[in-house]
Amino acid sequence: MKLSRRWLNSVVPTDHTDAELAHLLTMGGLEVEAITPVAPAFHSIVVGEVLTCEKHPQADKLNVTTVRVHADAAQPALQIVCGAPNVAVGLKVPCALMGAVMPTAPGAEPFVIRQAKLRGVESSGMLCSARELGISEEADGLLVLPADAPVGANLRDYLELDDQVFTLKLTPNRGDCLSLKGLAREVAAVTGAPMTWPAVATVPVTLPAPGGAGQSPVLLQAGAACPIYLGRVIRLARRPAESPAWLRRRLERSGLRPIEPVVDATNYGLITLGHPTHAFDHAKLQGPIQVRLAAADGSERLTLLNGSEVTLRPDSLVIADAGGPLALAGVMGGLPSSVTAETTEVFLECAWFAPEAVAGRTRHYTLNSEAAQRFERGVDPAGVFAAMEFVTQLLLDLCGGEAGPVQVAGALPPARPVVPVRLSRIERVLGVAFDRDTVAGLFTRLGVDFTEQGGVFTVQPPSHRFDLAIEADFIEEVARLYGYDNIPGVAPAGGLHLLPSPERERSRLTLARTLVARDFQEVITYSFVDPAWERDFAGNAQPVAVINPIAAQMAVMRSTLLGGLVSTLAFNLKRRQERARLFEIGRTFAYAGSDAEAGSGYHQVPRLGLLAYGSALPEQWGSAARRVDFFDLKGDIEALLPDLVCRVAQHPALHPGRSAELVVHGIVVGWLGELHPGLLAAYDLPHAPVVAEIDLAKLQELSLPRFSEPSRFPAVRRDLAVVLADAVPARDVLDALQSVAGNQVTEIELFDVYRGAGLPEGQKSLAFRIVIQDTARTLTDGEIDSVTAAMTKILSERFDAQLRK
Amino acid sequence: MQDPHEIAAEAVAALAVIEDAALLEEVKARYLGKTGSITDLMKQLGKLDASERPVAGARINEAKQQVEAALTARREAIAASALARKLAAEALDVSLPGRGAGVGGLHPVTRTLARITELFHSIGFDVADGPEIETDHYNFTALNIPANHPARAMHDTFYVGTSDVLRTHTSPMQVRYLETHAAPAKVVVPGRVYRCDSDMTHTPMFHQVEGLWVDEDVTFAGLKGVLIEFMRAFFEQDELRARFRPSFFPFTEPSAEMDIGCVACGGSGCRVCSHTGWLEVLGCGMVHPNVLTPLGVDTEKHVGFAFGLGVERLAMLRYGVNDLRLFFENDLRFLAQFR
Repeated sequence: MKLSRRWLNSVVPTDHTDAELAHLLTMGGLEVEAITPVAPAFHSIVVGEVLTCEKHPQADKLNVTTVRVHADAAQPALQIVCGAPNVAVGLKVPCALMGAVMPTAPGAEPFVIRQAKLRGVESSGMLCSARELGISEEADGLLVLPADAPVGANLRDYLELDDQVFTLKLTPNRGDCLSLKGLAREVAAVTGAPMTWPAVATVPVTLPAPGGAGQSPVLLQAGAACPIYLGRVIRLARRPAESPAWLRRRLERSGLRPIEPVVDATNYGLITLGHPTHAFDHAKLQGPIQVRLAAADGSERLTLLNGSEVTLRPDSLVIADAGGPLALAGVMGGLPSSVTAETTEVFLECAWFAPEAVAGRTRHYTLNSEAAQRFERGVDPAGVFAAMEFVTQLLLDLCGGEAGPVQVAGALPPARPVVPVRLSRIERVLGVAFDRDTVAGLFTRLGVDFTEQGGVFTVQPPSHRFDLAIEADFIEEVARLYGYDNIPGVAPAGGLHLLPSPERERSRLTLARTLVARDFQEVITYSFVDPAWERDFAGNAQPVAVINPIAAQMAVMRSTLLGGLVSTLAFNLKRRQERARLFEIGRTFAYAGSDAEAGSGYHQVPRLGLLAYGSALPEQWGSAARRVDFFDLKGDIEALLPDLVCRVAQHPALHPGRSAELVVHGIVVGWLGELHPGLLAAYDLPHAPVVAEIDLAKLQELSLPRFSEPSRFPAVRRDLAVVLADAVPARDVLDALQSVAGNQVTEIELFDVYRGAGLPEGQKSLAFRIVIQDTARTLTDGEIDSVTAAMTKILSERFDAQLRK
Repeated sequence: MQDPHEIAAEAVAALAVIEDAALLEEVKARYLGKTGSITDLMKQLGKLDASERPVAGARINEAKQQVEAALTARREAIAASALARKLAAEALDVSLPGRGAGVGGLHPVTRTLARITELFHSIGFDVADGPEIETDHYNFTALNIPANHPARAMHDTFYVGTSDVLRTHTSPMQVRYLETHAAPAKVVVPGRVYRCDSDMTHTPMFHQVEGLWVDEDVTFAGLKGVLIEFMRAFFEQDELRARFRPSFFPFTEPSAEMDIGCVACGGSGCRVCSHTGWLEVLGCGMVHPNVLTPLGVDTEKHVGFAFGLGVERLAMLRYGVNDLRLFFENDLRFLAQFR
């Protein structure tokens, strides 16, 4: 929303500087985004009249002119050399006098007009284009002023250039401020300055009603969507015509483009009163106007004013005649019935459309519409008669002519119910004491009608304020006009309660910090990914698709964190970061089948993703360099999941011989492995990273420590080294040992794995540390030997394992 | 008989130049050994008159003690210098870097989220988490944003189904939390949110922290108090200025935008605050009765306030990051600055 300060001041004069007014409006909830001068600084430029114009004797493209620059024709004219192609005798143009300061870019040297000699001819000033004055980008020659421009007048005064355009960022609830009248009302409320709004006179009717007296040309068929519709025929005398400068100026400064008088008049009504109106070419209408919904079968089409042809959705309110839809009601007119420069008889519509009947339509049809912007936020229904007269009068002023009677179909919607607003409730919500007079004063400034009894205000919501319907709405108004800054910030008292601190739960942050201490860097990658990532890293042909993605490579929701981790690695490898240990904690997404939680068709499982690449340790003098491998990452995971078991399993993104399911207490909670070599080239990776992904819920489970008394009797260590087939998983051997361990064995640890010289091909040696201890006594050698004997025996039976000599 | 003191002096002189433990033992043998010169004197003592013996014996003993003392002193000196040499040889270059694994780091957004949630947790806010694919109901309708409401245009929404969206804010958790927790309720909800917008100052995914407090003594003044205190604690600036401007969110009323004095320039105006001296940091307000009533909250008894913080914005201000997009590039050289 843009509005001229000068225009605003003509309705609600205040002494505030532009910055002060902007601050008051901003603090009142109407954010002023920008204050833009309509013209840069310059002075000593006046309206000049070109009296003579002759070719420059020395230069083809220059003319030598004499220009009158004084109201008093007796004063001498100036000789000015001019290079503009459109200079001609009789034109009124801006003329910079000697000593005039022209606009320049910020920081540039001031450009002062001086006496000069151009190719041997004296020149005592300069004729200016709009661009030279900084008031337009257009540069096609001199700015031609209207023929009646007063010679000698200061151009700044004549064009009202000492003005600022306020650009406001209005919130959607304040549709009432999308006009001069609305903003003026608000300025009056926040400054306390009085607002003067001229009464709109009724235009004398001199034309008969169309279709005979008493015959309504309008059929309302949409119920509450359009309870009232005013129409009138206006015959225009001067066509085509041009809008006067003052009107064009006000429209331009309101961000609207002047076109021709009929369009300009309706736009001026819209920006002045906030009430959209629409003019049809009366000659193009057939039969009575209908206000109805578009055809239920979606068969109706309409070419709109902007040239786009739309298929009308059945919930679209349209203005139609016997020939079909003419306009999208409250949104945009149709091209076939539109007014042209030659139109001499218009049918002017001034109706009230309910917000619900217009809301969302511009989005559906992808239109920009000033009318819809207002109707969907709420236009004052009570203003419908005044708007009709206002626009009619303006049209007659602009083009001359005669107006027909206003045909009224329907009636105004009923006034909204009064709202009780309790003083006690204001205090309860705002937390600050108010007295009745303060609140009454604020309501008065707001211009609402109210009565008060026993601390309860009974307030009539103004017809222009669609955002005021319940008590809370008025409490907001009280706070807003009282000033949020005048309400003190206080620390709420509240009772002191300890928050629960579940000890069996590892918070996400604690987990993250544990990983950080283990040399992992957290990353955050987008939740929407390239569909190719889903295929490559999850074998997922049916990822959750984003219907309106921002880019094709962000078109689906990730079901694995791996894509983001791998692409982060690739991104950093390109920046010569040769080592990476990354983690991300985030949700992964999948369609839930029939097992969906109630009300949700998606699984949204938070997971931890890990990636390790490059040297196991940061490159350093004191440790041999070694590439990170499967067991490094497994160790990191074991630190988080002490009961972890790795089971051989295949994963589409992993090396088939180097991947595992992660199992905790029999439940698969994730997977771990080396990236499949087949994926390296596609993702620009020289080596395979080791990656893992684990359900966060399992990582957050902790158990409460449970005390058991350490034994006071000596512990005995026995090392057990066996040779067995290479293919036997170490976990199976450990399980076998555990199965015969009994409760005196307190520890079984694998501490060595050996293959190679001294062992037969296809065999390996595993060495275990066995710690044996009793809680009640010292064990005898015999007891200890029987434990190791049982272990040797079961390994021999199960795996054909031999004790290593 | 040779003068014992001469011998002792000779021995002490000999010892004084010895640097080697083995040589020391040789010198000891030469004077104090079985055939050593002082031992010889002792042996000759018997040949003297009984009357001379005590004096001579005492002189020999004195000499012997002198030699022994010198010997001990020398032995200790040699040991000390040997130790010193050994220690010197064992000296480390302590300036070499330590050995072992490195340390990672939290992403700056997580670091900021943690700071925000920990501050609110310290005054009793629960911390909750919610789904990122939301239904139209929770994301909009239950928050008093019916279909076709112009406020929906403020949210550039990603859709994943006809009525399923990527949540455009963390506010749906106000509704979800109150569905499962009766008032009084006091919670913050950190999380990812999504808007269909990408340019210099917008990323299609970012983070918010939603706050909700519904209780019998919650007021707008209390909202201001809590948020001003939070901002001062977050930026560790006790004198930080704050102001609240009326605004509009369909799910709060009154609604406000909170501005703080620019933390980069202190309010004098700079590029960070677009020369206004103020930074817009959050939206907030009193929870709208249209949100609370359907959730069974007795709004006559319980009043609520809510706020939504932009995490990236606070992280940028706190750490001086000048480009939002850096957060999701995950350049390790950038991330390592937040360790």
